[in-house]
Amino acid sequence: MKTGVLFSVWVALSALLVATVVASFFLTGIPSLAAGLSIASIKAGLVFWYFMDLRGEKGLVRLSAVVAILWLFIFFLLVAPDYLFRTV
Amino acid sequence: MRELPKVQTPYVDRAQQHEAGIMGMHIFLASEIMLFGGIFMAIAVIRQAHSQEVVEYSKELHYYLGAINTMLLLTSSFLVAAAVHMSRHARRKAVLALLVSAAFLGLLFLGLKGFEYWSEFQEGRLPVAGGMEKINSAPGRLFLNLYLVSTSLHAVHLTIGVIALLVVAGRIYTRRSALPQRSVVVETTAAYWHLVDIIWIFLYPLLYLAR
Amino acid sequence: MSSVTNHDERPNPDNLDDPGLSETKTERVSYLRAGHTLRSWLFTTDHKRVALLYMMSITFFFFIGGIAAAFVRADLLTPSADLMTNEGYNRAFTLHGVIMVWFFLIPSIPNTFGNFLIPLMIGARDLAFPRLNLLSWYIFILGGIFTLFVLILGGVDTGWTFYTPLSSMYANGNVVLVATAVFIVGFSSILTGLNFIVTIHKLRAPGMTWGRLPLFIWSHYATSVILVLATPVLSVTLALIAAERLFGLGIFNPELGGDPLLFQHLFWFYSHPAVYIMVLPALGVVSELVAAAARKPVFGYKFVAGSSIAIAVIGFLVWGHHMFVSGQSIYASAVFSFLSLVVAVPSGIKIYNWTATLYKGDISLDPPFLFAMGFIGLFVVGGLTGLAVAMLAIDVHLHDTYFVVAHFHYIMVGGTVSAYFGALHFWWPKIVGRLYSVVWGRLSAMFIFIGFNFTFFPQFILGYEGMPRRYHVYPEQFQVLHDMSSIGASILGIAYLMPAVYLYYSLRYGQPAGNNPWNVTGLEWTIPSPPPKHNFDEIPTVDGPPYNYPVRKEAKHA
Ligand SMILES: [Cu+2]
Repeated sequence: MKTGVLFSVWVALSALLVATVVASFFLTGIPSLAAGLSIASIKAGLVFWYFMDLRGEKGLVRLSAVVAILWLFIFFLLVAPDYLFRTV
Repeated sequence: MRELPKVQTPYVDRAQQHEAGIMGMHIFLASEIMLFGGIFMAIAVIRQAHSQEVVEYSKELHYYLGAINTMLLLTSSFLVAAAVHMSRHARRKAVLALLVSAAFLGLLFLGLKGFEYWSEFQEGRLPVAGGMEKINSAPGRLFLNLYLVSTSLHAVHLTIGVIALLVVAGRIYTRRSALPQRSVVVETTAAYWHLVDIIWIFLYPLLYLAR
Repeated sequence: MSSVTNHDERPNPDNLDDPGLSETKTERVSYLRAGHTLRSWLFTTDHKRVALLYMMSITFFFFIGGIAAAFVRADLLTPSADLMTNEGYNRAFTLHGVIMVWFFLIPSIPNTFGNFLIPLMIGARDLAFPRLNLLSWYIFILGGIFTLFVLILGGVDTGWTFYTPLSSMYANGNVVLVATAVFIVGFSSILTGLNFIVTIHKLRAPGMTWGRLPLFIWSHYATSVILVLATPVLSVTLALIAAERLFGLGIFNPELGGDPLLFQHLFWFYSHPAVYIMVLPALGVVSELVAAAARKPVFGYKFVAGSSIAIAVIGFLVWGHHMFVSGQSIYASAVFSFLSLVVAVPSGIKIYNWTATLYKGDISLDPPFLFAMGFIGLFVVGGLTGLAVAMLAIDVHLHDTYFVVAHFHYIMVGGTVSAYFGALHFWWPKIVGRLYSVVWGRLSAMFIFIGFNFTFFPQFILGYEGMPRRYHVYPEQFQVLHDMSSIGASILGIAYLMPAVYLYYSLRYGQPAGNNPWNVTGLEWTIPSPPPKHNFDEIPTVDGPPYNYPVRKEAKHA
């Protein structure tokens, strides 16, 4: 039964891969980037949650798995004002 | 009689040792995420500064080879996740088969990536000596440089992952790691493998599908 | 000091025929005597022995970095370039910076006292991954060998900050080699941080809840989080520098479409938090020393503990204050300036709580306490001048002057090194099992404080008046202040050597320390000094708060 869940996740991941490739045919610029990144985030979430089995882990392990993602987000967030508004 | 693994020095029981192992691996993976974070930052800055050239040169990459490689990694991740499940139920043979086939898919990925580099070199689009006649803008070359740096850094990690999977399989085969008591070695290696997969999940659209 | 009477046999300092080093019964079963061969040290997985391996290695690097500093200060005695060439001077201060930052300050307190004390303080037999701990020392040594190799090859001239495009295009020295050295030593940091985090989470003794952890543990936890999350960014940045230099990658080169400021973002995303890697363990040490000196429960325990975590988190949000005059967007500068002022709040909380802890305490003027006082004084000066340079407008005037040099030396040398010596004087009896001369300890604490201020206070004035950093030729009007600084540096140098003498003497002739020479609380003081190999015969159970000193009631005046 458990492997059944894993298999459906694999099917979902494959579908999302197809979706990201197809999206790249139709979208350009920011929408394309947004689509690529959001599909990638969903895929990464599925891998984290089901394959890495964070679903079955305690809060502590979940926290240590996502803390770096949060930190990278902070990094990007604070670099952004420089690159978006730099004048020279 | 099956010999149960002894608990090592600082630990009082096996559950504690198991949890420490899992947590240690996740913290190590956090540091890996930060390592690739620097590369992602560089990609973002280049994309923002030279979006036209990035799109132009991204279109030249073999996106279908990248897609096949993504598929290989996703499938291998599925096999590894199944191996973790089996190892908790002490299905030793199944674990061995799953780990070895996942490692095989990893090798296929590396082979295909190598073929891809080789064909880019032939086409004059690989930023190494003798392979870049077709690259004629500085930002374009910079983008391809980042492509080469990030995919090869990923390939190094994947190679380590393949070795780790095979070592774990070897330990289970020789019964040096008894199942299910030492399923932690399968779990930690699997977590590493999944992370290498996740990094590729992000690299693929950023490098191959910039439009 | 202690009134412990110890009936163990011990060396007699008055008897000249006594060779010293005779053993007490406790020492015979301690970790120090568990194996005498070199092999038993080099392949040890005992956290206490790894701590001593680290202590010896970083002391060695402290000497090398100190010698480089001596060259710098000697050259600055006169306004002209008479001791070294321009290139030589650049190489001397770069070497001083690289060695002191990555081979002394970053590993200083965590890898020695953290390694030694974390398992003892939480009631564990070792760190969570003992073999990983030893591996991290070997990685450290490998990085150190690379650095020495660079030194022999003639050094590097970029400054410890490796700014692009100087480091990536124009520098003549061995940039790639030194980047490799720092890259390698980074993995030692990551593994240490990982080990500490898992240890603190998983190996606490029964009853040792988070609210009962010594503050030393809280600050090391916060430090470890930074080690794990910041160090990899430095590693990848150095790798990019090497790729830029070797293969012309271009990411930091504007001619090729890259951005040199990206380097500064990546570098300071690590290197500002790295300041907290250096100072948070020191704050933890001082919390312990203050509580021990006052013999009172720490005032506002939760706030002191929480402020360590707050510093670690907010410390990640301020790196852009190093880039105010670099050409980064002024909006970014404004955000970073504000956040840099915010990060001073948790540090202030600690200072207030320490003061409140000492208030009406039962203070004894032992060397550790004097070092802690020295730390607080210097850290306050360093912190307040830090606020000055964090202000956007003031920084434009003070940027890249000796004011900044003085500011960060007050934090990193006045602060961290004082705390390191404080820790050494506090836990020395636990580590080696012998007492040292308290009088000499007090003297060296005072000499270090005086020598330090003599060296670095003039630099605030120099910087304010416009003396830029990293120049060895300067206008004559600066000579008096520069000479004061150089003379102070020689006092400081001698003061740093003093403990080596009396601590070595204590090793041979010191009186056995007993379990708890300072009469303080904490699990590490409940076991013999030096501790046995596996620390605790039986894992202790904790049933009370930390710093559980009896509260004295004051008689009410009528
Ligand atoms: Cu800073």
